[in-house]
Amino acid sequence: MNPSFEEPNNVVEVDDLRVSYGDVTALEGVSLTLEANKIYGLIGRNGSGKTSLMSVLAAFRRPDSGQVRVEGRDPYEDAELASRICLIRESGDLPTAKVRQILSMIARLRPDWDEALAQRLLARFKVPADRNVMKLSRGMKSALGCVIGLASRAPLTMFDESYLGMDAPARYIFIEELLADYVEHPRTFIVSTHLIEEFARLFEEILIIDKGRLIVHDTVDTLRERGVALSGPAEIVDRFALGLEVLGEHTLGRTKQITVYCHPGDDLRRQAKAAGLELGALPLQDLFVHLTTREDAP
Amino acid sequence: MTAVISDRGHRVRRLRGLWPTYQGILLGNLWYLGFWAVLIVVYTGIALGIWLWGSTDISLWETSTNSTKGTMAAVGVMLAPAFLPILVAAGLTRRSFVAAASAALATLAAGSSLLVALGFVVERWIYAANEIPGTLQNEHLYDDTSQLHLVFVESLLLQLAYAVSGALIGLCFYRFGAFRGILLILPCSVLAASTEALITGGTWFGPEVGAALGAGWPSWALIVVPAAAIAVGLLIVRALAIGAAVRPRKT
Repeated sequence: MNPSFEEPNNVVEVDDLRVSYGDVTALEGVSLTLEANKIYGLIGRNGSGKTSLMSVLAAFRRPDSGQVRVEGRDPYEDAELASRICLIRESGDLPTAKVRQILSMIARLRPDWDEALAQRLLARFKVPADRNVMKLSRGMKSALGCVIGLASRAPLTMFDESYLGMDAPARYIFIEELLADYVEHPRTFIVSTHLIEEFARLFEEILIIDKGRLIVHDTVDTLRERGVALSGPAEIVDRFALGLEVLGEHTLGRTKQITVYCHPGDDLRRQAKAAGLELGALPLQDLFVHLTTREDAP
Repeated sequence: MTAVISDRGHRVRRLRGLWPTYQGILLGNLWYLGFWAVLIVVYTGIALGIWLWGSTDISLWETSTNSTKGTMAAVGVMLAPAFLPILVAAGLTRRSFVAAASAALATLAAGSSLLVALGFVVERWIYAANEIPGTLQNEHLYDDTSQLHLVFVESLLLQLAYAVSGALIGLCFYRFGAFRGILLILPCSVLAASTEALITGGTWFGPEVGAALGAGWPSWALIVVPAAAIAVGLLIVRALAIGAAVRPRKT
């Protein structure tokens, strides 16, 4: 890494960010702080604003308003900072050239490029170096994007659904390689995905964006604790649910299950047990679905 | 300006990676060599045809400059859509892209202008051997094709003007979308059209305007004014590129 850069604790600082496309508001009032050297999961429904957020962080576009800082600086048109930020988009940003030529060009533009890692990853993903990128399958193009993202070793690396088209073994290789390289060369990753459960083991913290607003920013462990499924006789469940934030409910005969979003401390668990209710953890994906499909969701 | 001081006192560099970017853009335009190969084959064929079956008293090579200008315009049009998103995604600033792309355009135009001048050398040799006068059809900076330095300068100015007009058109389409891009074709073409009219009396604005524009100007003005216009065109390209959002590419 470039020693001339100080290593601030917060690698990303966003304050009251707004991004719009004509009449469509993609992001509104988004404020967040991301610490350096962590892996963040960025999740949200289609069109929720994930790509817009990452595009602004990568200086792909200017925000309409608000402030964006990466390593304490405005990333837009900052030549040194731009070389330290890498966004790999699912649409791909690859020229019509052979894989070998593309990697050679990027190696000359990325100051922290690791050629040995790039070659090893190409071999692992079975991407042929002498083939033109236009002749690669969708999955291989995505794998090439992942190779570029990892081998760039940019202090802020973002993958925007970069796994699209990759089969399950290739996705597992990507997750494995990302974790291994992160351990050896800690840096900040933001990974946007719809495959929440599959990628969850990567994440230390999760950001959920819905309708252009940041609705959750928590550690994975905290988030897992927050989503609770309670089930039992309908009348007891209803009484118990008073005062809790209910995300969803299902009734089957006289049995009811509710999903609540809370901090289930020992007292709640004890009370639920004493009331004869079953208390279960909610998978992250289910919690995400509940949070982003609520009627009153912002 | 390559660096400014940020609001937090950092010195912010605006340019980096120019050499590899310049090389990358040139490599991405290798097809331009193919265009020249085809042009040479076509003109060799026409010359052979005339030698075998016909006659002429005009310079054939003079007409080749039309296709070289058009092709440089195409190179310019493709610059932003083909290279801007790739290079910004590879960690470059838009300013770096414009600087490297301008150098690449200048290199292509200079190389192409050398070939234009070389073409006139070959044509003069063939025409002299066959006692063909080789009359020029248009106005030029040069009086006859033996003034190779003026042949080169004229070709360079015209090709750069077309390339920069093309770059403006491509950038407007990329930045503002197809509808507004179409509306902006005309203003973007002013640089190419006026340079053409000024130097060759070209027909963009009709023969009268072409003949009147630049009439009586000293030779140096016919070089300096288009050169200054090209520089202004590049500044507009730069300003447009700096504000351009990088859109998702369709692959």
